[in-house]
Amino acid sequence: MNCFRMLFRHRHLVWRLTMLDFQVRYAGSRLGLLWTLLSPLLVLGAYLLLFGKILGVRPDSVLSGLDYALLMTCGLLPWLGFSEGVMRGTGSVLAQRNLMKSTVFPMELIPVTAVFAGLVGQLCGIAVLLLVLGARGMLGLAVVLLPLLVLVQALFTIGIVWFLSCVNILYRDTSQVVGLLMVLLMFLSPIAYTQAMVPAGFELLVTLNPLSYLIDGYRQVLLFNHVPNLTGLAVFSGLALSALLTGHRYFMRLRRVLPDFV
Amino acid sequence: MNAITVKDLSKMYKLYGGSHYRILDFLGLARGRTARYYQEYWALKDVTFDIAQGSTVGVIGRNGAGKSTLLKLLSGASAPTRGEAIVNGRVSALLELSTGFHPDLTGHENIFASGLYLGLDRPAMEQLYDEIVAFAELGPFLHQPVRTYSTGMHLRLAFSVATSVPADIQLIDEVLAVGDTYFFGKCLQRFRRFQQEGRTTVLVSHDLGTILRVCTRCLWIERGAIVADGTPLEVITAYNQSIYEERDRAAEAGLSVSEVDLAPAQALRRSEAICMEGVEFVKAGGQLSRAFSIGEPMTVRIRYRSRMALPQAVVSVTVYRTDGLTVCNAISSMDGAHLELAEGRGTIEVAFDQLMLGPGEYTVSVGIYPSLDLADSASLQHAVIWHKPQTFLVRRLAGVALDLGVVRHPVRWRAFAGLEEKLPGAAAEEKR
Repeated sequence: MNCFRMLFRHRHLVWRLTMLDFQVRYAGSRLGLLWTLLSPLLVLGAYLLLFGKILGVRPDSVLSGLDYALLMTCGLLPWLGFSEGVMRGTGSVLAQRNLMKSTVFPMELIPVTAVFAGLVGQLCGIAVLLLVLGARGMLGLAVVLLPLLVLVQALFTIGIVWFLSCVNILYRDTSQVVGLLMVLLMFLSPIAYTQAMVPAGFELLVTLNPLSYLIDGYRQVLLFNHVPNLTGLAVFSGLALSALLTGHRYFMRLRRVLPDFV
Repeated sequence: MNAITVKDLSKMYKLYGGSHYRILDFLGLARGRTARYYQEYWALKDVTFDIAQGSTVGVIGRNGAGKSTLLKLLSGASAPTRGEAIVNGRVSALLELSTGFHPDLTGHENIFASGLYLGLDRPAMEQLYDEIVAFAELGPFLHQPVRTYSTGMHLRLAFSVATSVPADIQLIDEVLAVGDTYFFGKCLQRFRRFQQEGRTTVLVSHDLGTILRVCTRCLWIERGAIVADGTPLEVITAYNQSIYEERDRAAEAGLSVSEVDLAPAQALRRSEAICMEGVEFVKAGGQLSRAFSIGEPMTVRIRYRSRMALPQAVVSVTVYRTDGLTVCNAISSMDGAHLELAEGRGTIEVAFDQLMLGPGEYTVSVGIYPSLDLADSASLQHAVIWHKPQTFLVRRLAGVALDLGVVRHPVRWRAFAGLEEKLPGAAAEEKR
């Protein structure tokens, strides 16, 4: 539980580092922060065109095209937050290696910052989504569970990234492999489709993918005003917790020797 | 009270045969098979010393001696393999120039970003801001991205941030070399202020003059161990002595310490007609040597082989300092020497009756020309043949560690009372 105490103690620093991450990323770019909203919108547009119009995917549970768009957005936003966190996080420690060499800086915060920076885009997207849902009168009381989902997702991502960012220093190919895996995982996750649409015999793809529980949770809470499937949520929370604890242990164990490898 | 206590401090780096061995070692699969996976490199071995609070300690030593490793261990950025380094107080380290600056952020933004990494919140950083900016003197560049900075500006900002934040112990590695003299003076002032404030400073530098001027104590590290520890003057004298001795040994053994290729690009141009077989340095007694004393006679002997007789050849012998400065250039035609080179094998000798060069290493390049136009500055490059530059050494005087310069010029000294001396001739003139 050390990592919770650590994260809590450094909460202000994490916040300011996340802001700094944004400042650095958009230094000198014209649209700046607008990109965090534009990029998910563009991806969403491409998805809608591909799956909704060209391939004509239409789950049974929804009728209109707009409903399908909302369903897809509910899957796409957490996915983008997750994948951006993982990809940024994996390279983050290596990118900031000079910090490791010469100052006594809590390096474990660097991957955490990357995850939070990845979440910002997702949160902006969710804010817009909430407005749309609210306007259509689709929001219910279940939306209070949303912060819980975001939190569990963040912990899960941080755990994974603590592990991957270390491995990436020892084995620089990691970030390439992770990039590829993310592309695969994007199609294997129920973003443009729902669990119900997966043909018989392939259910394992969904049940073994922890992200499907997360995405389903978001959909239940945002679209259907349901409490998420408790077993699924419990499984995912358990995974998140164990990822966080092992990731932290691994990072802290390697922390002392990493400077010799960067 | 000791600011720093170091006990049996050792750092071993593993030099892996390949990156996959590194992974295997991390997974714990390399145990007991050390030799096959990596070589051990001990950057520091069993180093023990204390540093009293408020002292300014210089660390000197050759490249790869372990100086930077020591600072990394003291700063806590790297973990020791064995032993311990106990540091009492807050450390501010300037180990590398790149430390924590984001190239796309402006200097102003980077000051606050550095604050984050150093554990200072924004109000604390705002208090220090004016001091940092004033010391760095970046002018209009303060609000430009750091990637547009020159190395010197980078140093000024990094040094200013690292030395302005509150700390008890200041570690500085070898970065001052890129600053100009003006900034260097300001750095010295700052070190003096640290001494008054009781801030402990550990400074690694190759500039022995700096160490001599600011440090109260000096450590000399060689191959991961402390060789000498004492006042800067003592340690630096011993250090210089060892370097000169090593050079002398290398020179006596006929090895060139640093054979810099100073001759023009076509240095080894082949010539069908004539070739040089060797350039030697000869002592008064006739024996070959590469090390001479100040004032000793030295003859440069050039052995050549020619396919034809060259009745009007010109030979040049140029002496360079190792940094490329032309110290002197002997040209046979200018010295009124008429050299007739015979067909077949032959020898040319040029005698330096008294070496008037200061202690140090010199490089000689020899060229042979069919004719040489003294008015044309480029004509020296048109030699028929060049010989590969050869190095000789002028020995340091025993007991003199001072820099004596390039030329040991013969001079005469005298002293007299009053402001002007009345010379007999001048006195006679006055009378008239």
